[in-house]
Amino acid sequence: MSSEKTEVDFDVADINKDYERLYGFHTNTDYLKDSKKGVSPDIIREISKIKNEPEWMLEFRLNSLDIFNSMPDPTWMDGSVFDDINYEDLYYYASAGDKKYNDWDDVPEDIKDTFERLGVPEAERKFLAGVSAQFESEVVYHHIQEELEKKGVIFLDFDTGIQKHGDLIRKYIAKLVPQGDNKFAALNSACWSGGSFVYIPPGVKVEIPLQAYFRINAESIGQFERTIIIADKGASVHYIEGCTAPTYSKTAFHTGVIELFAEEDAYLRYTTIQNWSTNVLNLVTQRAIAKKNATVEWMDGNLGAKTTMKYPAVYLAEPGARGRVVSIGYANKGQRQDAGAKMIHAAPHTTSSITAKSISHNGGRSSYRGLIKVNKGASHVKTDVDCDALLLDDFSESDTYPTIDVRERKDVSVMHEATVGKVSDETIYYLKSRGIKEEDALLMVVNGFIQEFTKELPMEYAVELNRLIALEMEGSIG
Amino acid sequence: MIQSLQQKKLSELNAVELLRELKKADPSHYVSQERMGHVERALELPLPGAPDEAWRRVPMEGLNFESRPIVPPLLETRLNGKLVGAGGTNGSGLPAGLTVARVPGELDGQTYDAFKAFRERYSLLFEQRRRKNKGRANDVRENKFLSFAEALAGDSLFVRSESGTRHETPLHVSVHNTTPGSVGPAVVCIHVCENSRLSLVIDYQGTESDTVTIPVIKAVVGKGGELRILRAEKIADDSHLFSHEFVMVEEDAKLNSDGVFFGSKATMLEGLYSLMGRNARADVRGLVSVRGTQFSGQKLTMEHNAEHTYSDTTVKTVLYDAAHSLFAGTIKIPAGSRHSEGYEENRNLLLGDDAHADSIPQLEIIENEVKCSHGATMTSTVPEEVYYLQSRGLPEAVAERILVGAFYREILEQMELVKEDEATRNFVATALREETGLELDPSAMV
Repeated sequence: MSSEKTEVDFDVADINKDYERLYGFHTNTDYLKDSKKGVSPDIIREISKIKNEPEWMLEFRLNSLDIFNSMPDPTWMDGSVFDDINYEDLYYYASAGDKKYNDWDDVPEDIKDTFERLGVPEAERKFLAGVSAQFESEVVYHHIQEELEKKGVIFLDFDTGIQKHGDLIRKYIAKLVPQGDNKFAALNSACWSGGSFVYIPPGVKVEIPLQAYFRINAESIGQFERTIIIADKGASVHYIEGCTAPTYSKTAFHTGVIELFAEEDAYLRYTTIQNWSTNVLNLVTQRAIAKKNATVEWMDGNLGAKTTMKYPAVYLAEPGARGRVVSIGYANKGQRQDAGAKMIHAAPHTTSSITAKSISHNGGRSSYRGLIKVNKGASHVKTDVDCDALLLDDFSESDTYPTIDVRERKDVSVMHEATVGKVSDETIYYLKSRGIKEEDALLMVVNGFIQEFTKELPMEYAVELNRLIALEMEGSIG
Repeated sequence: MIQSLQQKKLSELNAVELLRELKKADPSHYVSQERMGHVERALELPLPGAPDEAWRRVPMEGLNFESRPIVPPLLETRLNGKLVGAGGTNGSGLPAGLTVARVPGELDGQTYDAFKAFRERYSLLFEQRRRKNKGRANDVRENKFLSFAEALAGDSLFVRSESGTRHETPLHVSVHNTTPGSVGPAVVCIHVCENSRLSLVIDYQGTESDTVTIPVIKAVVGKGGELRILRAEKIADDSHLFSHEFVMVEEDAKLNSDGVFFGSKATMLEGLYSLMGRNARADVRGLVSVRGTQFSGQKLTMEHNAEHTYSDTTVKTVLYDAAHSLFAGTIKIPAGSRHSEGYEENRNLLLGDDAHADSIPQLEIIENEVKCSHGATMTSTVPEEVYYLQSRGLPEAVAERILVGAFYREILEQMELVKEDEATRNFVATALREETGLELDPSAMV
């Protein structure tokens, strides 16, 4: 890559690369309320006490811990993925400070410094409606524009949500992802901290995307974010979440649970670009329900992490519901992106589409693992799945594991297609013949390959993503 | 001792008792090391199921196969309708260059060497493929049924076509389980030698009530050789069929493996097709028709273990009533198998109100200089098409039959033995008529 280009890229948040030199992490944060390593009922009680939680939440946590302890690792994936996890060696709660900050000026300098280097303030200057920036496991900065408050929109970190809207959360929590859904959902339910709680009242359309940044910044600290987003009847919202994390030697662990509720006629889009450092295990359970004529869309980008296991799902519960997943995965050296999507058609006249694009490079392994299920009685269903994989060299890996399960015949149409291949020599040759350098030609093709995803993103994200891909691909020629 | 034990006590011993007897036998004398391994695995392994995504969907209720008496199925070989190969001599109606023998019962000096050569080649290729492939969740693994058949099949059938000989008329092998309540293991070994062509029709029958048939086909298609197989199943609704088909295809060799499946309480085929040499090619086609509460499953693994290999898998399924079908196809292209092409297609036509179709088309690719794709669809008949035919005066049921016939014909036309051999064509048409009630004109399948 030319030196000019590097300068341009330098301004953009190349978040994963060369952290020590570029950003000088990690900052000396005082862990005021560090809990001990490992997870036990005592630690759970301590977390709950620190957060001043109601009794039902403590019970929920303790109950989840029992479930976690009794559950085995998932068996459908080779177990080596889970071998690295030492549950006893993780911190389950760390707080960066006592105080919540709703004004930028009040945020401590060292934390602000970190965010500044990540470009958070810029993003805010431009378009942020509210920032819920999670530093360590607790939300330290939270800002909601007044107009949103006026509309009755609730956009809080999850802890504050519990304090202020406990009854509402109690109604929705674990309704889509039960505590016993999988081992990691159980662990999250036991020791969640941070995340967002969003409620959009009936008929309210939130014009600007709601955004939350959060990150991991201490060795072996697991982040267990819990997010619930409710779009009430006829409401509309676009929520954007991005993760960044600096590199440390020990395996970091992130297991989130995200539940989306789209009531009748609602529109809910959840966009996430996850760019964890390459030592993070990112095991997230994401599930949504779409009621009558509602639409749920997951835009899911996975670039970093050592291993990602993430299968956003939409339960199409009532007639007219629509589900859509567009995802990209980029597996570089040593990385495994095991991502996909699930669509459960439980009602007639429902439609869904899944577009999954993956790129494997430098020996990385990317997999698509998905499910299309059409229940008995769900007639007049249409669903399309497209997964395309690009292998940039001859030792990277790509797998496709779709499952289709159909139990209804009336006017049901299920299509699944997948292709795997490389960038054709002819394409590169054609671009070169037009005077484009080979590495730029390859980048053009790759950017074209993931365009279906990038075109769905706000401009700033799309630009950043393209730059990230460019940096990931450095040195891929020759 | 084992031979006499099998003959004397077969009807009295159930599977577990027999396996224990075998385990007690002196391995140096009676049982090969390999077979001993199968005996142990057949005893120790659980029934196939999770985490294998295909096997875990196979209904196994009421199988109780370990307590059933073991009765090896009847193995008959026919050429042009006449029994051949009986007694294991080549003088009994077999053309020159074609050997059919029972192993070990009928091995003489020459066939012993031939069988030994097959065994060695097969083991070598199998080991090579094992080393090439990285372990994955749904791999073809040790399987109780497989080990069971290998351990307990009495005489296995050995078919070999000599180098340079061509056998266009299919040899018809029927594997017939005739004893109600029994479990019948059978092994068929096939060696297509260099530049030779062999055609086979393999016909699994378990028309008696409540049988379990466990056939295993092991084949090597030598350099430049060609193997064409057509499998047909005719199993009673309360019976089970768990078959394995492992084929090693060498350089410049070609495999056509076609199947016509009709389901039963549970029929499952685990197929492993391994392309072991440059320019090897495999075409696998299946036609599945299930009705009532039948289950039919195919787990097909296509391994491209060499450069410039080509594979094409197509399975078309029609589901009536409350039938359940499963297609699990995997294409594997390990590192180094450049310029390979792998295609896989699964089409399902759901006609029953309570039908249930599962499709798991998978790709595992570790090489970028490849072309690879898969597709799966699940649809019912298109209302417009039915309406069009009705508007021409056809009742709805007839219109549907015509559309199903067209759906089948597409795949039948691609089956090489159906295309080229009239007797096979008639055989398939008869089977289709008997099992599905569908009248297809054999001459229209060409």
